[in-house]
Amino acid sequence: MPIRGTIAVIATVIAIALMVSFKTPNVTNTHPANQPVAIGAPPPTDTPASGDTGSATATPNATSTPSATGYKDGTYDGQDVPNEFGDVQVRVVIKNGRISDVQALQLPSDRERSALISEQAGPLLHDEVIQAQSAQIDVIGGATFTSDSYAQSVQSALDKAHA
Amino acid sequence: MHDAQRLRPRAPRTVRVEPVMGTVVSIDVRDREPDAALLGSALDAVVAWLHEVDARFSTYREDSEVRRISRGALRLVDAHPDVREVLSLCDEVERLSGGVFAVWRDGALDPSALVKGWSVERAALLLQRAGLGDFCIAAGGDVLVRGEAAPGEAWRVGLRHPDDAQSVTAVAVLRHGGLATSGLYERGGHIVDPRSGTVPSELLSLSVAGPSLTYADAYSTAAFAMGVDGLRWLASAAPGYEAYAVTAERHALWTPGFDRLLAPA
Amino acid sequence: MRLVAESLTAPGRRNTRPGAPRRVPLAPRTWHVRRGDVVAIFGGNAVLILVMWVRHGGTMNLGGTGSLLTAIGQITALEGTYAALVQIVLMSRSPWLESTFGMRAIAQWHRWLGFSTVVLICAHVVFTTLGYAAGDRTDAGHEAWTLITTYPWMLMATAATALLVLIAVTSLRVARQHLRHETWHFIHLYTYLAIALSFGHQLAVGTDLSDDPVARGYWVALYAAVILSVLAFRVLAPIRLSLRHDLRVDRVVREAPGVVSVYISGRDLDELPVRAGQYFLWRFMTGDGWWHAHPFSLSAPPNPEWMRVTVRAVGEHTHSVRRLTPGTRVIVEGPYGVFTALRRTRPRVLLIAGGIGITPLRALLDEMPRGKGAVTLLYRARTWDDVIFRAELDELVREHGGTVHYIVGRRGVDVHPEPFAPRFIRQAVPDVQQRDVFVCGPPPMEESVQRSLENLGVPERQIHREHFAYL
Repeated sequence: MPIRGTIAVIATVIAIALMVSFKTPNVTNTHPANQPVAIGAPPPTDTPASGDTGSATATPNATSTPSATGYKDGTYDGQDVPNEFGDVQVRVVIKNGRISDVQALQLPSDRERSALISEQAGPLLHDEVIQAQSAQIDVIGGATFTSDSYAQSVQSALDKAHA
Repeated sequence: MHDAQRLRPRAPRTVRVEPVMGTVVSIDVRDREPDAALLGSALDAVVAWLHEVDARFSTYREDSEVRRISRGALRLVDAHPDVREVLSLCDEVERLSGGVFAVWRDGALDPSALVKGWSVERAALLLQRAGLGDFCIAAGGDVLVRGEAAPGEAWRVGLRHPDDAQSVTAVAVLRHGGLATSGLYERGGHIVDPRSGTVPSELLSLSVAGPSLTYADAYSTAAFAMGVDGLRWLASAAPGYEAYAVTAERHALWTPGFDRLLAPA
Repeated sequence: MRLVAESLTAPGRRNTRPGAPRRVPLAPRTWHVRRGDVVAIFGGNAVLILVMWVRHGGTMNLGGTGSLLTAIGQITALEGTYAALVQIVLMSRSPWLESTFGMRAIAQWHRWLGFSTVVLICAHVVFTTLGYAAGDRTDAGHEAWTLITTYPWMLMATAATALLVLIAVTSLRVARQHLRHETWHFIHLYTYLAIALSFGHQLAVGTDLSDDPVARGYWVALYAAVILSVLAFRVLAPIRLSLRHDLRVDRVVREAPGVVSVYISGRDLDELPVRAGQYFLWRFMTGDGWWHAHPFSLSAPPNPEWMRVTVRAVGEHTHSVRRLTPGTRVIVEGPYGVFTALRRTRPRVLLIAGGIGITPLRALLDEMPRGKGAVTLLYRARTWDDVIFRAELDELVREHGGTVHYIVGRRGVDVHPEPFAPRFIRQAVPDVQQRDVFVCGPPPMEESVQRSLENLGVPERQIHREHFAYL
């Protein structure tokens, strides 16, 4: 129970005990005072509320600027950037002076690692061998987009596109 | 990212692509007949916001608030409220994951595993403020969707095949929520399982789908570090969030809840 | 370990229904209290007390100033204490009273009675002291000292009076603006202590009670009835309900940063007498959270598998909700609220939500009529951050063939200063006069909506309001 509330309750009990023990001259006060009903207590100080909603008009830091327009329209392949997991190469499409798409031409894959699991899946998880699909999709998710090599390849393509 | 040849045909859209935060962010708006000026300024606001987040949270910038806090040059109480909010969310996930997800590592502060999803979720609010309701934001492999991709149709999100950049292993159908993926190739430091101190080797990637991309992003990092156990951890500790993982042997493992999200092959 | 069977992102399938058969919404209690009965009982007792005082010869001794003052002192004591006891009955959270008058009316009465009690008791102190002083031919100060130090139980009675004054002062609007709710509530609970402290004084010294066994018996019976009603409704019923249904936290879903849904499961949930639109006072039995009762509405219609509440974590208490662990026991008081689909009178419906008021409306939506244009939802929120259930609402409304309008932004800046002006409502819902309107939101917003609806000629019986009374 929070501290302030506990202190308040203890103080109340002491006060009642004192009042009960106060004897008036004419009457012997033998009835015990009613016990205080279980009382709630105030909690510790509020922590400040979470931050406000994102700012709509933020002035970006001077060292971090949005990409400028002024790219030449066309399709540009970035550098093939190798890393310990494989090669990364992207293709950037510029339309109307702006980036309209970034496609992955090559991404690292991990052919040589030795496998350990599959039997560990257990009854609760579904287990299936993966297949390559080309289904109708709107967007692709994955883990391979944030490597430094990816960023490098994108940058090299944009450098080519710069007017 | 969008592979042009497989995009849904005849769905009018507005797309903005921006390199930022060490990756590429793309915003795809499908609202029918949006106000062009409002749309333009909303997209500008999102781009500006993402750069603001980069400047504040990037571990690659010496002068970002996160780096300054790492060095001890900035006290948490003096930091921007967003920094405090992000760290408080990280604390929550750290508790939930039993310490596997941790922002302080080797004496340095690194909340990147949550910041990306969080900043995208905030960006979605900016778009909604402008009256937009049907859009998807893809940021470095994390995907947030709202509303519909086409009238009466939910968003179809492909999970990239580990070997073939041009194909997917599965398609998840989402209407409102986020899908984040963690893998070995992520920037922001190698993911290390604090329990063993080694880099996890069981899984190639682990994707988490759920109502909030902020949490999906953090959960995917934590679950990935735990290997196959991570899928079970997620199922019990994070209700509402489902996982799909690809093992080094090219098997896919997924939680029962994710089954409902998978489009038939 | 139970693997989660739910996901909020499955297409075309609303996850608020786990596949189990939907329970049939319960019919209302067949026995209920009529307003007239309640008023008769409370008013009748007040008159009875006065009659007993007269019977004791109260009117016979009004000769001198002293006696007159003392007489007034006696009446104010009796009725003041009675008012306090009535208040406690009102606050016992009895579902009968609540469903007859609604929490809002009860809260208003409580406030009025509260200040009346304090005024009457203070008057009693003043008039009795003056009256006795006149009789003893001393000054008031001296008389007061004598009273306190030589009469039995007087010290406690004085303490009781001081407490009542403190409670009244802290309940003034201006004071409440400066006090944290928890602090105010803590002080307010001292009312029980004040009433208990004064009981001894009343029996020992109350001239009307000390000699007459009938009057004494009646007075004691009054107290007993009040104590029993409080115990029954505030302590025993909730415990019984919660134990019978073994209510426990099943899971906590993080919907967005700061927004959390808590699923509560248990036994025989389909026999819980709760309907969509109602709320409970939830107590989560954790070490430091047990003493706080949260008034959360169900955010999804009740079903045999679970109940759901959805919370924006804004203060310390709602923050603690985020940390709930599965298996935590839950005690509920209630159900409360008359904001249910039973109130419907017309085939079409307009739902108007302000801020967190969307919660009961989201639950009600399931029971709303289907068909093109049958349901319209106006959802007002200050920022998009505050909009919750977006996906569920869009989907539900679509399934019902209805429409939802999101009115989001700061008044006068992003949206019109009067977003619920009559013309806007009429624009969105031209046939509003023929619809039932369910309104839930902060009181000022509800007031403004009410005025607009009246302006538009919507009959009173078609307007249904609810707000969360923090009692």
